[in-house]
Amino acid sequence: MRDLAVLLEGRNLARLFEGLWVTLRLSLSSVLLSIVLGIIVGMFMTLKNPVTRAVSRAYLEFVRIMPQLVLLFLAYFGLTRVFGLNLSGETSAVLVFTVWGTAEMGDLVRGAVTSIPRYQYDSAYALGLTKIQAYIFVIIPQTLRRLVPPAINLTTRMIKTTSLVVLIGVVEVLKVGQQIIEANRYNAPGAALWIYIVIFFLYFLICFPISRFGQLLENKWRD
Amino acid sequence: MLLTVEKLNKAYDGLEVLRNIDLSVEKGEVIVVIGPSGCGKSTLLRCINGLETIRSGSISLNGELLNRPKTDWSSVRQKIGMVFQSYDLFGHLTVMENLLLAPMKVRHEDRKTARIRAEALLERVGLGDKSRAYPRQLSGGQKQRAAIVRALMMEPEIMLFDEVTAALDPEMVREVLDVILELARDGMTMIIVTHEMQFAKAVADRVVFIDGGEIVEQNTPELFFTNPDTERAKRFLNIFQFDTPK
Ligand SMILES: Nc1ncnc2c1ncn2[C@@H]1O[C@H](COP(=O)(O)OP(=O)(O)OP(=O)(O)O)[C@@H](O)[C@H]1O
Ligand SMILES: [Mg+2]
Repeated sequence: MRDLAVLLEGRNLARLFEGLWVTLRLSLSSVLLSIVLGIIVGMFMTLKNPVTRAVSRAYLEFVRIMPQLVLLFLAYFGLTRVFGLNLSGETSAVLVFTVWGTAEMGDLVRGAVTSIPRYQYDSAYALGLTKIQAYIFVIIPQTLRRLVPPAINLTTRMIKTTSLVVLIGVVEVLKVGQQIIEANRYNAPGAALWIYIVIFFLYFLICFPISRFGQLLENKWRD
Repeated sequence: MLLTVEKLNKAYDGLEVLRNIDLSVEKGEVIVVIGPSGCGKSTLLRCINGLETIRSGSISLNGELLNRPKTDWSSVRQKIGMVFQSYDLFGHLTVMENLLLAPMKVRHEDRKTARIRAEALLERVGLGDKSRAYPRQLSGGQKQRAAIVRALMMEPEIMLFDEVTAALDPEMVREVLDVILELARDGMTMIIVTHEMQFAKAVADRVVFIDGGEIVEQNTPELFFTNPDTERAKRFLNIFQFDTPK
């Protein structure tokens, strides 16, 4: 019981929620930026030009091959060394997750756009729809239906991956948990388990509704 | 003449696909276009309603030249209905929404009157109970009938059919061809690309045989299928009979 009580001691629970807010703030800024930039980059990726293709390919491969942790260290320590840019942990994190998220999101947009069969465009034009009308009423709605489920999946992946920022000194939910555990190492050594269970639920609280929402849309839109 | 195509040439990146095509279609006439795979049949239809740009020649509808720089294709295409081989219904819309989209957005017709027309047409092709269904809930034959109705909703002056039964299971071919036959009886002007020879014989006023991007022969269906003028048509028909004994 002593172990469980640690959670309620002092500001411990409040601190965990503050940590969660940091996690959320990081993930949401990165996700929103990635969606906006990813749509632009995704359009760029659909171009048939061999040069733009090679560039987008290289960008995507680079981001996929590099572990996110390496990118984080690169941004946080590397940029300081090389360019004298002094980025805070949070800024570096948002930067890295946006660079990563934009590449993945761009690839999802590219996939969704190119999966619309040519006949859908042709039929729309053949009915007399203008190019703009065809996009508004036919192409974009279908693209969104294909895009939203995997984009939601990516969002939850990004939220989970933000836990890496602990390693560049950002105090988010996981770090707060570790601090509480450290502080109680001697008086309540069993608290660690409870803290991690609470953190598990906090992640669950954020990710579950998002991924449920994704599934609902997917079922509704299946075609 | 409703439609006149003169000296039409079309190339894809330097590859000539259509050469010197001359074709005129009178109001009410049913033209069947046949020819081996890759000879340019689809390309011809796509050029007629401006889905492809042409290299040279002219296309006119009711005497009005279509291949000008300033053509308002949106208004031209309302007069030219087209149905494709593959399922071209919009998957995110119900059958009824598919039918209403262009009348409402392009012709600015109000929903009620468009709906009444849509229901009557669906009834006619045996889809009266499908207006709320999504395309994924329909059989191949039903989808193609719905696609035909969708084109008819724009009250076109001419219909272009590009192998509309080629992707269907054999047992569904009939129900789609019957719809086209009925349109022919009602006097609709049509250009039909098909590999269904029996159907071609039954529906055509004139058969146009294309080979290697050129019109090799134009003839009545009676003569074309029994005693064509050209060697190339003869050879094509022989191969065909060999493929599909009927
Ligand atoms: N978008 C395109 N780009 C380049 N070449 C094309 C394109 N579309 C068609 N072609 C080529 O043009 C030629 C004519 O094609 P088309 O589709 O008109 O033939 P078709 O007579 O309709 O054949 P099928 O009976 O197989 O449908 C073919 O050689 C084809 O490979
Ligand atoms: Mg074809």
